[in-house]
Formats: sequence, structure tokens, C-alpha cells
Amino acid sequence: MRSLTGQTRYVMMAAMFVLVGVLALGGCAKKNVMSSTEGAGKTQAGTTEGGPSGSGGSLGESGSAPLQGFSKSPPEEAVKAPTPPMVAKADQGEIAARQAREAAQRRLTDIYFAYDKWALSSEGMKNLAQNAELLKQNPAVKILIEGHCDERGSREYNMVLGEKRAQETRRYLESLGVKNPVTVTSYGKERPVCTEPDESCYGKNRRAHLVLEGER
Amino acid sequence: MARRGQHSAVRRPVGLLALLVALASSAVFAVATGAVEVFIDATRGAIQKIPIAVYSFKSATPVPGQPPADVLKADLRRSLLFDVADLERFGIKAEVNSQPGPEALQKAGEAGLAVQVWGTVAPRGSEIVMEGTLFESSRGEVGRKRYVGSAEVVRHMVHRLADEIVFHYTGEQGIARSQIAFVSERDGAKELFVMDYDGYNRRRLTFDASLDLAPAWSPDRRRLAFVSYRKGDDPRIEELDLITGARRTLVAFPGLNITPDWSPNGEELAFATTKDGNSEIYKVDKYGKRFERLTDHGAADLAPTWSPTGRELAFTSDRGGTPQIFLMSADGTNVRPLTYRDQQGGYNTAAAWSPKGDWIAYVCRDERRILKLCLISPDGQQWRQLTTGNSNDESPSWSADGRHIAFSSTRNGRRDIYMINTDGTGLERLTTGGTSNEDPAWSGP
Repeated sequence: MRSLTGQTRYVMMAAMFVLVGVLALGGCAKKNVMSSTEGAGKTQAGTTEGGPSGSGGSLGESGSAPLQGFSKSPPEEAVKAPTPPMVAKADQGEIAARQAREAAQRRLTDIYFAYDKWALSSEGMKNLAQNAELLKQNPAVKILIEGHCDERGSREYNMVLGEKRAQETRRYLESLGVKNPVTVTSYGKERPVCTEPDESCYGKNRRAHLVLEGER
Repeated sequence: MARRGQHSAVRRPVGLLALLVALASSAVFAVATGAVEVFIDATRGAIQKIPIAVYSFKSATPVPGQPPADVLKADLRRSLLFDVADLERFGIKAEVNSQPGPEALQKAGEAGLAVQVWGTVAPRGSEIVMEGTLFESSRGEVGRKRYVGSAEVVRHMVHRLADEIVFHYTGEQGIARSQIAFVSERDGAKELFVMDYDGYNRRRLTFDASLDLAPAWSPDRRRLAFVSYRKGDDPRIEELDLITGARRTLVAFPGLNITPDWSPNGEELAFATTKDGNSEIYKVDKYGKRFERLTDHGAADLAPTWSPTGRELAFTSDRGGTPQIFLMSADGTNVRPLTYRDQQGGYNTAAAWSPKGDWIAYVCRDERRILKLCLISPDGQQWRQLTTGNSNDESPSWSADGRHIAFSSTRNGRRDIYMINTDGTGLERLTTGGTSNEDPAWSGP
């Protein structure tokens, strides 16, 4: 046995295996081997397109160096920490500018929405009508409308639900004759004003938040 | 959110075959026939596992953290391929001096432990050398592995050894070396982090003091695409190169640019944008240059997830009134629903296609308005709810072996990241720090 190459040995073993399988298990074992081969093909098909590039060393040798199998006289493999030494540095200027801008913003009354809904309530419309008069008197003021949601929707879908709430708010303001420049965004459920898991809190989070920027 | 796994292009199941041959003539033949099942049925949970003995690693130097044998045992358990034996129960001492004696090896073999593993840890200068031995009770030593590195990476040496053992018996890469990217709330901001698949070795990636969300791994594990609000009002899709630290903007249309997912070959990124007035799904090449619109509907289409072949996408759409999971071809044709309100409930989102292709995990909302995880086969024929209880469970992301799902859950009050087996067993909490931890993305192997 020792003089045989590893490959030959495996071929022999495979032959032995089939023999043993037939003898001991009848057709059952043989069938299992065949289906396992099909399984192998399936796995391969799903991955050929995206084979490891070999350059994914960002997470260290331990994450990316290909496995080499066991050996009676194993070569030494260097293992490195999977810590990416590079992180995205904070852009302090960008952070300061954003914070200054947020500090200069003025806020209007939040508009609240029903669970899962983006249609305006009658109370929401009343509040927007009051704001509309103020905005029409200051047509240069820019309006940012942020849509927000409570935590009972998925984070992905809440992004678009918040956007729908913000768009609905924008459309209603425009229908009231507001001509100020309006931008719309959504924070989904990422910026709740309240974090208790109860309806009073959920209701506060389902909101369109109106922010004014520029000269009054 | 979801990621696609890459698997070994080379499948080399010789290990199991050899084991079977060896065991076929031994007293533990029943084990061998069971081991065949591992090969066939590994993703289904109901499998006969390979009984394995793990001895303590004789250490000639203090090793920081958990003992290597404990790390290895946890890795082997998580592979779901091995039944890690309690050696004391068989009257075998787990503590060994560099290697188990012949009596212990024989005793373990007679107890049906088909595979046995041990190792040593020794200092060499400022480094550590770890050696692991794989032994089969009926065949003798299969071979060894030898690793060298700093004391901090002993844990990763063990993960590597575990993946070699999995690879030897299945031809699959194993997941012990994989990483999980996630979002952690710090000082009111949401930043990107990454950790080992078992929750250890957590590292912070961004310091934007803004919202960085929805990380998605490139298949080569080199880059993360994610959503960032750092530039102002509109969230953009950015990319962070984990080798160079370089970041660049991939998608910055006016409006929301959200829910990125890399194609399995890493050539394209699918995402959703509201630039057309409502949310539509697009894809863009890896250079961020060539865009292609895939959906065209007045309702919201978002959260695409690639099939492992790259030929199809699952996504969320509220075109039927409530969010449901749909399928389409990768060119945007052949759109059809996968979940239905009257069958799977009124709220189904955030699909993640298994790297094996056989399941799509997604967020389902129950009648109590609580978010849970559900699984459905791509042909719609099989369905089951994966998680239960009163917590909100979200953001499913598959391990590369298709046997586990990472997700966020509020089951211990705060939001943290957990993993669970696809049969609902093996729940493990992976995060603790920060205000909250969410949005896990599990890397390829």
C-alpha cells in the first residue's frame, strides 16, 4: 500500500467501497453514493461563476488562504489576524458641516400616520394647512420632509414606507399652493424619537418630519 | 443584508469515502452507513453525524482566551456534521500529553468514535506553532496540520483546522473562517462592524457619526457595499475596500438608494432606488458605471437577493397592496409572486436566497404584528416559520454552507445578532456591546 500514490489508493478504496456497499447494503448504498454525486454537481454549479478571487486577504490569511488538506508531513501555514488594519477614517469636516447644518434647521410640527399607512389623517391635513400659510409667506425657505416609521415593519420596507409618507406630505403641501423648494427623504425606522415597545411610542415614530432650511 | 456564499469549486469527497472503507470492515459499521447520510442530507438537519473525539491541546505556553479544544469543539458542532463526544462519559481522559495513548485511541474507537482529533501549542520565538492531528479509529493517522502565527491568532488557527476537517469529509469549505458584518448603534449613530462567525474578534469599520446600514459582502470578501446617510439627506450606496480602507460611492441618485446585494460572481450589484419617483430595482456593474433597470411598476420594488446561480432574483414588492416576495429573471423578465397574502400572510419582506439555492429566508409578520423569520422553497411548494416567540426577528443572512441563518432579534430586550440552524435548533447570541446590533451580513467561506 505504501508504494502506491495517494490517487491510486483512493481509486482502490472507491472500488472497495462499492464492493462493500453492494455486499452489505444492496442497492441502497450505491444509490446514496450516486445522489451524493448529484449534490456535488449542484453545489459546483452554484459557485463556479464566483470562485474565490484569491485576493480576498483583507480578513487575513485565515480567511482567504485556500485549504490544503491533511498531510503526514504538513507544510507550515502562516495564519494572520483577520482584522482589517484599514478602517474608514472619520471625515471630521464632513461631520462638522452636517452637524452645523442640522443645528441651523428649524422644525415644524410632526405629521402622524396610522399603522402601515401613508395616507394623511384629517388632523395631519389640518396641521399641514397651518404650515402652508407660513411657508407661502416665506417662499425662499427650503423644506426637507423626512418620512419615519415605527419598529413593526422590516427595516427595508420601512425605508420605502417612510418615503411614501414624505411624498404624500409633499403632494398635499403643493396642492395647498406651497411653491417652496421641497426635498424628500426617508429614515425608515432608523431614527425613532421613542423606543418603548408600545402604541403611544409607535404612534410618535410614524411621522413626517418637516425641516426648514435657509432664510426666513 | 443578504449575501451569497461561495463554495469550493473543487469538490473532493475522498475523505468520507476513505473513512467508509476503513470503517466498513470494523466494529463500527453502523456509523459508516450513517456517515453516508451526512454527505447527502447535510442541509436537512435530520442527519446521522460522524462521532468525533476531541482531546485537549497540550500547550507549552499560555494561550489567551478559550482553550483551543473548546473552540474546535464548538466549530465542529456548528458544522452540524459531527457529534462531538463527551469523552469522560466513555471513561476516556480528554487531557492528554501531546497525544492520546494507544489505550485511549482504542477505547474511543470501540465506543464508536470514528474520528479523533488532538493538537499541540508551542512557542517559537515571539510566535506560536499549533499542530493538529486527524485520526481515524480504524485507519490510523489521516494527517496533520501545522500553523504558525501570533498568540492572538490561535483561535483562527483552530477555525482553520475545523474547516480542514469539514473539507476532508465533505469537500465543502466550512464556515469557521467566515465573518459577519453588522450595524451597531454607538452614541446615537449607526456604524459598520465586522466579527468572526462565532461573535469573537469584533472590529469597528466606520466612524461616520451618521447612519451606515445594510452591509453586503462581495463574494471575494474583499469589499462591503452598504447604505450611508453621511453626505446629507439622501442615502447612497457606498463601497468599502477592506484591504486598502478606500471607500467610494457606487450609487448616488437623487432619492433613496438602498438594499444592495452583490451578484454571486461579484460582477454586478442589485439595489433599489427611488430616483424614478417610486422604488425600483436596478443593477449596476462593479465599477458603478453601467446601470440597468429591472423593474417598472407603480408600486415599491426593493430588497433584491440573487439566486446562487445568478440567473434569478427574489425581491419585495407591494404591488398587491401589501409587501410580498416576488421572483424574476436577472434581466427583469418573468416576474411572478412567490408569497401570497392568503397563504403566507399580509407582510413578507427582506428575502435572502440560500447559497445552496433550496430555500429563501424572509421576514414574515404574524397576526400579532410581530416580525418573525420564515422559509419558503423557490418553487413555493415548501414553507415553514423558522422563529417563534414575542421578539422581532429580522434581516436574515445565510451562512455559506446553507445550514445557518444570522439575524437580528429583540428576544433579550435589546436588539442583538443571533444565529440559528435552518431546522430551528442551535440558537446562539453573537453580540452584546453597543446600544443595539442589527443587519448582519454573513460572508462567504
